[in-house]
Amino acid sequence: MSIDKHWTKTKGTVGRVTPQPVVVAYRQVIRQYGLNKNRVDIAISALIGIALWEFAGQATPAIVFVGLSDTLVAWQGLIASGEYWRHVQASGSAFVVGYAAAVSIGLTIGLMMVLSDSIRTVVSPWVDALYATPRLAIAPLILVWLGIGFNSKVVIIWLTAVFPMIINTQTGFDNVDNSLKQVAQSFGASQPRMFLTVLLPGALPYIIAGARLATIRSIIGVVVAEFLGARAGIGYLIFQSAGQFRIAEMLVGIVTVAGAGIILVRVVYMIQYRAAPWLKYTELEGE
Amino acid sequence: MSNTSEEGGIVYENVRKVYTDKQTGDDFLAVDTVNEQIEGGKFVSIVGPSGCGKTTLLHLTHGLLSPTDGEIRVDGSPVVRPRDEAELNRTVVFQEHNLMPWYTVRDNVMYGMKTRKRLSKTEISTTAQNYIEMVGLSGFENSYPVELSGGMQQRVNLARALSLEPSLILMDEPFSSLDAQTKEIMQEELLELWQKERSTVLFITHDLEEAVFLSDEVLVMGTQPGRVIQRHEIDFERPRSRSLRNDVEFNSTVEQLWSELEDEVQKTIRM
Repeated sequence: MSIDKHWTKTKGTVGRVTPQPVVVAYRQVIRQYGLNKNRVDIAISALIGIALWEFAGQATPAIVFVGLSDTLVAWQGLIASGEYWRHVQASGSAFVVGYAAAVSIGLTIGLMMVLSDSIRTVVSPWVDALYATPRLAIAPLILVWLGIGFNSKVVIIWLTAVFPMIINTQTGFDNVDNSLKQVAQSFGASQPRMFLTVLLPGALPYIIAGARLATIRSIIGVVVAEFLGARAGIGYLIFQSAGQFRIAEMLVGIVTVAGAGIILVRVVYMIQYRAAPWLKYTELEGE
Repeated sequence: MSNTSEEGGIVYENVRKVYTDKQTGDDFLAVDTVNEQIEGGKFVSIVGPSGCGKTTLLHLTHGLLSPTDGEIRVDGSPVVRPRDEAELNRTVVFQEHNLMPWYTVRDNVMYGMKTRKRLSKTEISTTAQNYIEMVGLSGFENSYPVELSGGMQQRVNLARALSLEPSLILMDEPFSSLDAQTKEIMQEELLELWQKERSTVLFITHDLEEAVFLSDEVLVMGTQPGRVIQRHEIDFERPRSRSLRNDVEFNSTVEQLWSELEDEVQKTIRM
């Protein structure tokens, strides 16, 4: 076993000593122009992806798949008719309300479970059970109760996103380093000071990770809710277009959701760097 | 006779600590009848095998734990749990991982002072700056603990404890996680600081050389139950430097401590 490991390691080192000529040239170009290698890598990866997409679109009939160019044309059409913004607004407003509710209520429930053992005992099995149930299985019930529209969307989003928030909040507070609590105690810190200077910052990495998971899950929640029943929204656009083989318009919806995901997660990261600058040196936990 | 009511003096009177297992209800005698007096301004080490109750005794002395029987007095007044409003005449330097990762060096050093609420903002920041300079960390005020080496982290820890200007500093194996060279440097620096401040230091370690090098007195603790079995005066001239380690008498003192401890350590291995 240990011999195997050693051998692999040696092999890996040898491999690194003699890189391919293409790689050597690539590195040289980046160094010469003083570029950020990471960014260039991402750009190249994106360009290759788009090229493959376009190629696949050209090679297949329009009712099966279309390329970026056709998608952009469809996008423009949707924007011109005002349809696109109607969908974005419908999804966006439900997302904002559902996500905000998931984060704030999730944080509150998690905190209550941390502060009171009896609340934890009562709430915990429900959290576990509902967390394990696929949202797709609960969503139809919500639609039956609340009907198609904004309210049912918000509730479905909330249900999809609230659990990682609850669980991460709880895990975060549970995992605060005991020795740091002891330090605060040794200086005679009061309960509120202990909470503000030790418990809350200690739990923050998990809470932020929970908020990030909730972001992604809220987006999933929007799309799921709109698949099952809606009169507008990006999920509705995707579902309807697919039903009518309008692949280009469907792709507009998919690209929008993907883009929203990337941007929103970035935003959470930016908030994190502001709120918790020390975390740039440590790995985020709880994911 | 030592003057134990003087600043930083410690008196242990029939101190016992019993832990009760919450599940089984079994009692465990962690510290058995300690009767000792420690003179203010002295550097005193406690050595003993692991699990002998050294750390328990330190926590009792600080007030993080309260004794089952007996009384501990620091500066002549009984030790109580550290509280928000009260003046704190003693601070602890813990082993490791005890800086708040979310605070910069400056904020960590200010933590104790801010918790005590007895100083103005400007006083706190001036004092913090003084101690940061004293432990040789100027220029690192805005760094986070993760950016610092182990030795530097323990300096911050030291500055945080010293900044409260306590009459008693309790140190719980503060250098045990440092590499051998860093450890020796930190020991010398600690002695230098102590010579300036002259607080009482109660220093827990399992490193006998460290104990002899630093201390005026060494208390040897035995185990099962944890109790003080020997007390030694260490009277090498101060200031002490690294070369003391080559001294014949130094080494025979270490050797003697080791022979006293051997049986106790054997007990913990056979357990």
